[in-house]
Amino acid sequence: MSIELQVMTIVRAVLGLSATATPLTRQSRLLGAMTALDSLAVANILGQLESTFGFLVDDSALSAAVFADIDSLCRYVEAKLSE
Amino acid sequence: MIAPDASIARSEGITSVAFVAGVETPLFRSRWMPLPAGESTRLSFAQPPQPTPVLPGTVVFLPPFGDEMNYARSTVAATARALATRGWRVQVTDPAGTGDSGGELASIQLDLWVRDFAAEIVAALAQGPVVLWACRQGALLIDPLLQRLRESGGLPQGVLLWDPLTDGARTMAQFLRIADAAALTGSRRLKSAAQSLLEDGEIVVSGYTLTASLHASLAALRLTDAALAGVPTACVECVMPGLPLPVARLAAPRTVVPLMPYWVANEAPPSATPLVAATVAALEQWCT
Repeated sequence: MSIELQVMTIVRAVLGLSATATPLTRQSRLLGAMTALDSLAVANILGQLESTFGFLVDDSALSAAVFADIDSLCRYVEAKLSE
Repeated sequence: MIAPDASIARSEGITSVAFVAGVETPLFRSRWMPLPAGESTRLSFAQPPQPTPVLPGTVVFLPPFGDEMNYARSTVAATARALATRGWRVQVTDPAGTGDSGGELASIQLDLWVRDFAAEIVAALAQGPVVLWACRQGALLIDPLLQRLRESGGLPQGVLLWDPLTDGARTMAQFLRIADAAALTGSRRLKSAAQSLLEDGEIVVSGYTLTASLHASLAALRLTDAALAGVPTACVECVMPGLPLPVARLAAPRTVVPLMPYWVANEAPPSATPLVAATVAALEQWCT
């Protein structure tokens, strides 16, 4: 499964989105668009990304831009994996 | 019929729910039961009206922390009911200062939780075999609990770990992240969570007042293979369909269940059926 699909799977699980009711694409907006994306959901998504991909999130370096959309979240994961 | 809600005991002390299925009269009755080791006002658990002839043992649940327990509760309850129908007695307790139990989290020290759970386990051991069932952060209580139980001369028949967290520091960092993430989602925060703990001695995260003292104690916890020496252990881990297996942190055999994470679900919890099956199989290898 590609990074993109894995990220979407995690976002769906944490936000409780069904694939049919809320289709996700790389351009799907997150912060400001997904009402379920509160601080707990952000923390849960990051926790799932850590356990799935095996990297550690540097909380001091996080910004809202990471959660702008699926694309920015995917790029964040790709950058972490290439560190 | 299993009706655990009828046995919920509420008081100023700890709230604990026992899931027990009687063979002929599977109704619940509850009564307060004093603990042998001093914390009699803090802990209660339900007792079945009659001893269950096929009782294989008691399962003592060690819960996740914070919102994870809220999300996991229905899955835990469903599993406890299923175990009860197979004769197990399952005790699900809210540690002091959490859930329906009395006390304020801001005044809790880790040692109190360890002492309370140890007393609950010792009391259960007096009635027969005991298995610890630890979920997420509950797994981090295993080491101090087993240390205490080794001193008292009684050990559980086994330890079942559900998606265990083994590194307290990392776990607490993830918990504090909820507070820091508020800044990302629009809430104005003047200090980072770490700063708040350092300068104010406490921080409120999702309504939980976490003191620097409790934070430090929880962050220092670890679960290692060495801590589990001599106690049969099994892991059951959920992996979202399509995602890779997380790295195993323990040598204990693990059963992987393809299931959405029950501890983060924002919507209706997933069916616990595959979890129940894996849990029953793990427990019945130790006590039948």
